[in-house]
Amino acid sequence: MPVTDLDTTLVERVRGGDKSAFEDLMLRYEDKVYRLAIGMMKNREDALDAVQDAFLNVYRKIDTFRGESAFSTWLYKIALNSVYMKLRSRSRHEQTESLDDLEHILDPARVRIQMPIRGWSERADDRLLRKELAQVLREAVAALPEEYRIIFTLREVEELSNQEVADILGLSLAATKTRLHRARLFLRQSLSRYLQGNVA
Amino acid sequence: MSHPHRPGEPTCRQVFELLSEFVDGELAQPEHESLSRHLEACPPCEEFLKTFQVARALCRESLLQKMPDELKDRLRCFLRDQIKKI
Ligand SMILES: [Zn+2]
Repeated sequence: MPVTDLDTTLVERVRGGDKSAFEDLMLRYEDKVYRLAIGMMKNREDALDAVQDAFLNVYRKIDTFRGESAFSTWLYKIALNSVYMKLRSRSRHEQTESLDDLEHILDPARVRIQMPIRGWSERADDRLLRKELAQVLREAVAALPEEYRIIFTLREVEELSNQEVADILGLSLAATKTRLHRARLFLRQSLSRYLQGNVA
Repeated sequence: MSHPHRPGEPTCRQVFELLSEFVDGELAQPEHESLSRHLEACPPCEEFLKTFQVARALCRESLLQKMPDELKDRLRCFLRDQIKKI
């Protein structure tokens, strides 16, 4: 059964009062919602809080799902809302990244394109190095401003289409693509810096 | 940025700016083809594309984690408890 049909069937069953169908929906989406949350909140307890809140809202609001968009789009919107609520509720305690600095780095028009002098694409295949690189990249992703990080996660990790990402975030397709491209360039650059600084 | 630029063909800067649309297959066919030609003829751009793709693949690999089982259990407990009250 295609993904969307299965979702629709499960939603119908939940509406009919079948609680096991809701657990099936959770099984299908909990890893995705968790990745979204942990990517934005950075610690497990906060992420769990957001995931709990998200699924509770999905359950409460399931009658308002009209099938005008894919169920996954609807669910991601609710999940994002939960994540942002949690983020805002604790944002007073945390200094956010300096957006100016990152905007500067992320603006392709201002980037002096530094082409690799010597290639490192093969070096990235090294198995030992890969573990190190994964850590470098996790830190680089965490350094992205929220609005870039969320697009990057939905697009690259969850593999949604640009249009789905734009729908979920209420952004234009053009803005979505621009941010995605900047995020990708930034992450490539982070990797490049690390590898070239690492060359003997 | 040393590749000689022919009229009507994209510059290295343009390749750089269109790379996401290129890898996502979102360029119109003529544009896609002229980028491909540039990439074949311009080793720095070709290497840039390779590293761009390597970075994407590594990111995905390092971020594709599952929710830990312990948290899944707590999620289920929480929801079963909450749903009873609804
Ligand atoms: Zn070039």
